[in-house]
Amino acid sequence: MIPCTSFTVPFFWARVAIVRRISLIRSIRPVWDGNEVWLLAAGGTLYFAFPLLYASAFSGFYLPLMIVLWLLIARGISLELRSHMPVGVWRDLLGGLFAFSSTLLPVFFGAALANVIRGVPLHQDGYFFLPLWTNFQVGTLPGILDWYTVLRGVLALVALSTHGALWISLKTGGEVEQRARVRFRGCGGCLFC
Amino acid sequence: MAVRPTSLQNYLASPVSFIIPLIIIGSLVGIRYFNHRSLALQGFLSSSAFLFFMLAGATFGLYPSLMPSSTPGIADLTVDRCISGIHTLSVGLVWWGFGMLLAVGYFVLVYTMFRGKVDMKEAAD
Repeated sequence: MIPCTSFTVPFFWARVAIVRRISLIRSIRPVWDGNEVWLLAAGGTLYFAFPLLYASAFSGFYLPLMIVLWLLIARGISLELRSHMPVGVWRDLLGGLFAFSSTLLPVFFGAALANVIRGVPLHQDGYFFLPLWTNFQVGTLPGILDWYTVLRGVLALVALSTHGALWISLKTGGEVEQRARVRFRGCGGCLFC
Repeated sequence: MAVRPTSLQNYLASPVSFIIPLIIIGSLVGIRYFNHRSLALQGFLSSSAFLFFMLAGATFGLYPSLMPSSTPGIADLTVDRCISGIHTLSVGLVWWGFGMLLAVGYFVLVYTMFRGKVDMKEAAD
């Protein structure tokens, strides 16, 4: 669950002064790339233990999987390269990219889980295909993204944002910690609803 | 439940599993309580428990399905249908165990090395 914090700490990126942003980065910098090893471990375990599920899921969810992959790449690049040039525009651009990619990732993970729970249109051979979206309605021909799965994705985002706020409270102090507690009240309130 | 009513069957077949939603509710209460008391570590652990048991509860409700089917007449992808052969699992267990040892060891080492709060003075510099 600690790895989840890396996805949603950037949610608190907006409107934060430089020193506070640096403290947010420092709270996850030593651990974020090691945490991504768990994603690889999950994929590897799926591959060797349940190969038909691996093949079916990664084929059927191909486009969202590629989107997730690009979001992970963007996230990693933005975090690592942000401090390489002391130029304001560069840092703001990569900071925004970091926040954008880290905010979308929980939405896609939540939507994927919602699709698994709802069920997918399997063929006899165990494979399936779903378009990324159709008309955003649930029914006989839903896409991977419709109002139900996007709602679940937003719920995942809220849950992980709450988790991230608690991580920031744990790892930082002073004004950053206080801001995180205020944000927690917002995110946590949505979660409890 | 409206999306997948059959998920309740596993819980009803094993009533002790209702402890999972109870832990989820307890962890939600714990998050709010510990944050109100400024107990950051306990609040974070409650949130971790919430996330873990939400996933565990969904997995338990779906079991043995790994990928449910929405096509009438087509069976779900279940554990029995998808699992590798015994030789693959035996070999995989060895290198998976070694890999997990490395991953967990690194995980513990990094979080121990960087425990405590971020040095705000160093961040300001």
